[in-house]
Amino acid sequence: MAVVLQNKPRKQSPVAQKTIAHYVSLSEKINVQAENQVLVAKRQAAQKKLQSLGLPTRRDEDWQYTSLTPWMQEQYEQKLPGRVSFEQLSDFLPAFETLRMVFVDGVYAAELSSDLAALPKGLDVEQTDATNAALADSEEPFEILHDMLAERQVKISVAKGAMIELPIHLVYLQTQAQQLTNLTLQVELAAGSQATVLQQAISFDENNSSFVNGFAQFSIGEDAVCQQVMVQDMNRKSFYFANQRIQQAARSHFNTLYIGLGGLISRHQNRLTLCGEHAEASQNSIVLGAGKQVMDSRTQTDHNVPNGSSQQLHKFVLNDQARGVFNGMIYVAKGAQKTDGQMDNKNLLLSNEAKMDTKPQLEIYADDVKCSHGCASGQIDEDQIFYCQARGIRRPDAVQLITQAFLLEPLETVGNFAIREWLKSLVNRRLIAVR
Amino acid sequence: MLLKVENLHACVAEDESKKILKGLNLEVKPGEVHAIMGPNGAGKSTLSSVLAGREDYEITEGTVDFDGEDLLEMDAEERARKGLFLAFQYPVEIPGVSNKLFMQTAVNAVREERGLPALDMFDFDEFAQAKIDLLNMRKDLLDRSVNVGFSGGEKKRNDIFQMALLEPKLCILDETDSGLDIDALKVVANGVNSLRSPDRSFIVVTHYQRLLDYIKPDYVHVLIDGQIVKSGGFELVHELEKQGYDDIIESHQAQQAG
Repeated sequence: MAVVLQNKPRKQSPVAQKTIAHYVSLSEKINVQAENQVLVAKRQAAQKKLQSLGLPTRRDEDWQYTSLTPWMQEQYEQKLPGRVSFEQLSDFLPAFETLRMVFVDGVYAAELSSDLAALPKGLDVEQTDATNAALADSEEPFEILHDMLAERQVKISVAKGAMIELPIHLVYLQTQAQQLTNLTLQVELAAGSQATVLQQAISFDENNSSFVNGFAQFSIGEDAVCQQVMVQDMNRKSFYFANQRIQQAARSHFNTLYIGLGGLISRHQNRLTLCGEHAEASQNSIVLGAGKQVMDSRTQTDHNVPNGSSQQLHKFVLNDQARGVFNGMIYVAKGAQKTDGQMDNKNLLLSNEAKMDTKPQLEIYADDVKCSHGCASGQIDEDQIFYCQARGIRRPDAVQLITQAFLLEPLETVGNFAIREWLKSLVNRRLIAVR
Repeated sequence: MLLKVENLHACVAEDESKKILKGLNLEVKPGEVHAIMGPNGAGKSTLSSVLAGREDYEITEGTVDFDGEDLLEMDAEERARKGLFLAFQYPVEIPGVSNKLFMQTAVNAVREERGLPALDMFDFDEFAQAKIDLLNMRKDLLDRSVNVGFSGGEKKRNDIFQMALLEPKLCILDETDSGLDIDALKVVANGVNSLRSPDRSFIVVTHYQRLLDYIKPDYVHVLIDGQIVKSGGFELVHELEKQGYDDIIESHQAQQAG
């Protein structure tokens, strides 16, 4: 199959070449055992793409601040899942009830999950071989990797008008060293339906380095309402790359919150398209980095039709030598009049060595729109600290109080009280550890 | 003696050539209300800041004894825990931190120092509501972020509310009256008056006599060029009002020159 590429091939370092060879060989191994020939061909096409284009280098504008070199030091592979008891897992779980699906090292663990035979009416969860529709078929490097390694997929469908009250909870638990978890998710909300999707990427211990590569597609039907939260709380030796594509039909609401707490290098990317009029999107981040973590959160928001509205608030707190990266683009197509697009990135640097690179962008081809973008990075306000101290609050407590208030602001977009309180406790646990 | 300031010299921490306090003496006994007046630039706010423990100033000479302990050895938070309270000239906004959380943390910090058990959410609410009623504050005060979106008057009232909650031994009001209209001024003065007690002292630092008309201090000191050059009773306020600072400044300068 001939592959026509949009992007130019990159010059590759020896370690990058070795990395590509490793993942291509993993992909070939999957293909040898595979029966689905369509998927085999897709994986082969992806292999060729990666071999031709190479992995991004610091010369790529989109990867300038997020080096992949540390990730290339280990060769990750899909393994047989480790053993985890429900007791061990329960430490990570919220107290409220969810429709839980647990994936240990990328493999579905029925014994740790809710009974999928007893799902509420209107909700369907399928686990099948990855389908064509579940592949990214793009030139984004980690989407190519996803397609190369795609095997199984989860498809969540919510029927027309169905209101799913319990959160659909996907837990991705990594238990082994050099573990590669390749995730394929499709979420489809039919017209007028409502659902909450809660995702959690976690590590079982602090030392085993793992690599999670996620690809998810959300299709939000007319008048449908979807709340998504992704909590990335892996250990500080692991790597997390996730690409999400979201399509919104008319009058739909999509609200997504990324909580980035763990990982040595992590990158969460939304590509959201408003396809129907009067759709509303809310994209937010809470990111906390310390040590030598590199935390990257980015959004691409395409207003293709008139009367769309999108709002974003991305907050980063960085300590030690941590680095944060934000990149957001709001694109307004010609004719997408009355678009309302707001994007804000605010960052708090707790140490002199911490660094934030941020690039909010607007690209507007319509002439009657209301769009704004802004960013601000700064240190904690000494006057605020002194005010607390003058009331008897010790300096470290004052720093925590102020930092917590700053960082948790995007949580206000989560409507459910129990979920909000649980997320707050997850962030606070890391915040106390950062002190 | 609650507070004894002796021969206090202080300069700007970043620039030692900027000497602001130049041998200041002050004694405050429990239950007394002292006013410190003086022209702009005399060192009034520096005195408040130095006593509260702001690190922008360096003490080059002198001692401050607070309730039998060396005040200058303590961090700002320790001073607050031991019962010193500063009402700010410009109370600071802290977005996202509710007054409730802020003050519960502060009250429990002070209670810890006094060997009292921490107040839980319910006990604190009850305690705070009583103070809100006492000072006639707005009911939603606790739910709002600390000083965010408050008018100048509301911010100062919030500081007085905090003072009521922390029950300090010594309250320093740093030009609390600046920028207040007459109604807000009355509220602040009423707050102070309702908190007066035999074991609580006040130092009211101000540029104007207006606030003092409502508070009626026991002692009035005139601070000029980093020193207290004249002290007296409440009558001194009106003397200053009539004559201004010019005469005092002149005689001080003559004395310095001589």
